[in-house]
Amino acid sequence: MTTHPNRRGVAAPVAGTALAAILALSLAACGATGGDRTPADGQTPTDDTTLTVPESTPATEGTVDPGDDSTASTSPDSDGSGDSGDSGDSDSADVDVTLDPGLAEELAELEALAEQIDQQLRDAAAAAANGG
Amino acid sequence: MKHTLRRHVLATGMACTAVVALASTAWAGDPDPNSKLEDARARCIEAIEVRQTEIGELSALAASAPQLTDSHEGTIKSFLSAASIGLAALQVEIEGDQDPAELREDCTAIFDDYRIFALRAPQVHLAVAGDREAAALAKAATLVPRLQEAIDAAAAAGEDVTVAVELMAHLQEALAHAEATLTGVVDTELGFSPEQWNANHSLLSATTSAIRAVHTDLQTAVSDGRAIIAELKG
Repeated sequence: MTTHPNRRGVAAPVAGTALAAILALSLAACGATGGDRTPADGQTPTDDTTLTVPESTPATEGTVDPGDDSTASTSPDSDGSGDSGDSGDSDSADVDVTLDPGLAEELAELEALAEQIDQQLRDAAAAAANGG
Repeated sequence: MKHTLRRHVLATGMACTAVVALASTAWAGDPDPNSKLEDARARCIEAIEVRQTEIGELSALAASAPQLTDSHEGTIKSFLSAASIGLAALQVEIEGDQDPAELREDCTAIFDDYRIFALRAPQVHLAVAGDREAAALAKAATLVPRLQEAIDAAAAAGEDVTVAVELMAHLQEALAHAEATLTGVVDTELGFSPEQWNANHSLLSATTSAIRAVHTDLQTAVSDGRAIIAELKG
């Protein structure tokens, strides 16, 4: 069976060579700026010879999506390792957060009222026991 | 204040007996009837003064009790004011009494017509206690849905809330019992008169028992509420 070269078969090596050159330039550019990043997804070179490295802040790499849990960004393990969002979902600490902090205080106020009521009962008994 | 009240009550209780006895002996052929009469008069006036002081203290208590309803405070002010005016008028009569029989009758009226210690003082204390209980029950009612929310949240998070649910049912039962027990109690007891007390010295027993029962229910509710929180905190 005879193989017939086609346009794709000819064009592929050419494109591969160009990509290698771009990558080389890209690496050189990264080395010059001291960065160690690769372009973000979807980032394309602006021309054939240079690659614009986005001025991204270091935080972009390790930031946890703030949409999942407002407390995650302050937790010690929110380093982008992916384990910050699933901690505490079902343990007692999370339940404690949902407990109304004023409840205990208001129960204490109720108890204070109960003590005052008890005092009134004792005063009433003291008066009634003596008549007159 | 408690000790002061007891001292007054004890003193005036003894004075009551002594006053009537003196008024009687002053009139029973005593060799110095004028001296006995004056002694009896002085004791009667002292009994009035002690009661006026108590009325002042009861008025101050009612005025400073934030949970006392306006209606109940009005009733208390009314009967205390009437008693104060009546006792003041009685004192004028006693000061003018020259007949031992009249003096004895007026002195007896200090006790029988006003019942400041036997009836009015307990009435005021029980009204303050009852209205305080009503306020406490209202506050407790606001805690119930919040505790229930916490239980629901814990259940949604996968916690075992069996005990918390049982405690909540117990708490609500206590509050329902308290509400039913307290209904109308203060209104009724504030309507009692000295004449009723003279006919039935146990007049306030049912009121006292009801308010004590509500107090116990409140303590139960507080205890259950705390236990629920402890359960949810795990």
